[in-house]
Amino acid sequence: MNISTETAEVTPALRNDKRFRFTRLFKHNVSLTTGLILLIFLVLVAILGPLLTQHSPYETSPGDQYMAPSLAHLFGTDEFGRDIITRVIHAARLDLFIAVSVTALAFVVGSIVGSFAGFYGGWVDMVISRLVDVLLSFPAFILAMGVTAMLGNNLQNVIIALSVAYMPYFIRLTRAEMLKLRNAEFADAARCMGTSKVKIMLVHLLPNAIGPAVAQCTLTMGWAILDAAGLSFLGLGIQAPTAEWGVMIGNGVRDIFSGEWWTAFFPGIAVIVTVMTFNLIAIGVRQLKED
Amino acid sequence: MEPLLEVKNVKKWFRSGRDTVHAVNGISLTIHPGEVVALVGESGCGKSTTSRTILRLTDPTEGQILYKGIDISRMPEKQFRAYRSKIQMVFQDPTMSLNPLFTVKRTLSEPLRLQGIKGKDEIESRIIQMLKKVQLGPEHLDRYPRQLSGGQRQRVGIARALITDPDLVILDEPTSALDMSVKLSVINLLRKLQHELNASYLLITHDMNTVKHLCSRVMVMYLGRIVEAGPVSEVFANPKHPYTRALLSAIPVADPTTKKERIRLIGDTPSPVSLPKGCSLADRCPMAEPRCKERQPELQHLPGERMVACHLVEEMVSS
Repeated sequence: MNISTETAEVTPALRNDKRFRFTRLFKHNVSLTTGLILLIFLVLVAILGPLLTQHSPYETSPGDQYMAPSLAHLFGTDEFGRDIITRVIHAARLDLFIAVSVTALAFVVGSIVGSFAGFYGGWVDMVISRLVDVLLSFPAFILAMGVTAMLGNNLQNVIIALSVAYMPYFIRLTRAEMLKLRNAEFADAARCMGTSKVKIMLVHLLPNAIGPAVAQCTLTMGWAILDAAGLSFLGLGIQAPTAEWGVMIGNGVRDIFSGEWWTAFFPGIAVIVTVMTFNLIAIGVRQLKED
Repeated sequence: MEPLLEVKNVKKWFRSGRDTVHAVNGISLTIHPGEVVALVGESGCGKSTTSRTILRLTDPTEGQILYKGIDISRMPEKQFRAYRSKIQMVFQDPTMSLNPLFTVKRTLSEPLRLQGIKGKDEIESRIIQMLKKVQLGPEHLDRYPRQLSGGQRQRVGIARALITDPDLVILDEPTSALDMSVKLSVINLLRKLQHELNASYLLITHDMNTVKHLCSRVMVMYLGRIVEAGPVSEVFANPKHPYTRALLSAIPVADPTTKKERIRLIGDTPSPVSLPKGCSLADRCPMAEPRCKERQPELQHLPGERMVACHLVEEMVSS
């Protein structure tokens, strides 16, 4: 795209152009739009929700056990008479926190390690790539199960376990981009100026190589929610009585057979909606890149 | 006058599996201060590899590179960094040679920062000064490469190379990615800046018209060796080496009434993996004799500061 040299005229024109593209983008990219709206809703629920609920997530009420959904308890109550909607809303905070920290950790460490592998090549690449192969030979969830079983099951270890499980994808993506970029002429130009190798890698190349890894983040958020809930369900992650979707589903499963379906159903819906939100954004971002 | 740069018998071989690619096979050249020299030859003849070894983007397999008499080819990178700002390069494709995420200002401030200039105002004023020299203005400071035209991008590339006041600028086909109308203005700009800054240029190209326009001396390269060198006017008027003759006869002339005698070389360039024993042109040369296939001709001095590497050179001089 060529732009003429008259800045005074160009700048407002550019801005208009940008706004125009923004509205058009949302009309065409339904997945991204829906995903972002859902995400805003989820974030609002996580931030404001606990302030609006009437009950506490840990407040037991012996008289109100297993009450079916009603106006008093929209999602019903569980075996201790705790209000399920309150627990689902409180859990949103924890589960989104887990998803964000897992993804952030996997993204930051993964892309830096991947950069080293792609940029330096040789034995650095050999060692990193073989380790990645080892990690990838386990399904991510099994790997995370192993790590929590080894480190002990608390919040911090769940986050570590899941980020280790997702890191290989970030390493591979960044490594591949870095391989493409390391011979770019602008890297040579930086070297001619006397920029150090590490600085060329981190300042010049990494920001240009990060695109696919950023797109991967949205997918990873969805996986993290699902797998964190899965670990808790199996008793390897967050422990009862913490309000966490996986814990609630795990505890509620046995109630389904006795007819109290709501104890597992509503946290399950929360997981589905959240995972779908991130997958919609992921699809939207991919579509955005293809356009 | 002490030469600015001396390249002495530099060889660069690349390993490619079991094969060795002989990209540069013993090249020697000298550049004096303020001189504009062209290195011409077809794609794959080793022009770019030669320039990359001078810039220490790759290390030579053999040979020496002297900058003001100091061997820079074996120097540790840390020590060489002091010389980096003195030897600069303008790259072929300005779209690839500018970081797409850096504004013009950021691209141009990096070389100054690396020279130890800290003051924000000083950096900015030097950048604006430099932009003015390449006929761009302060309004371009905050533009990204994608917001500039091809010609403007290359001007930024030139500004980046010249902002540290280098003694030697290597121009690696600086106009081949530009279209015709922009090409001439960039060449004229390069010529103007050369007069102003009195830097030496090493122009790498296969465009003979640019050579004629910009350079005083030309070196012709074929398969990793220099086959002919001399002042541009004389080499163009009276080429000695059969390869140079063929190369020059291929320049298109914008006049349909001129009938030019076209010298065609038959066949392909030999593979740089297995170099021929004798002259590398022997298989394709219309004048080849049996001895050409036997022995590699050396570069010989001719009157008028010319050099040719050909066994038939005596006959040529007399003719």
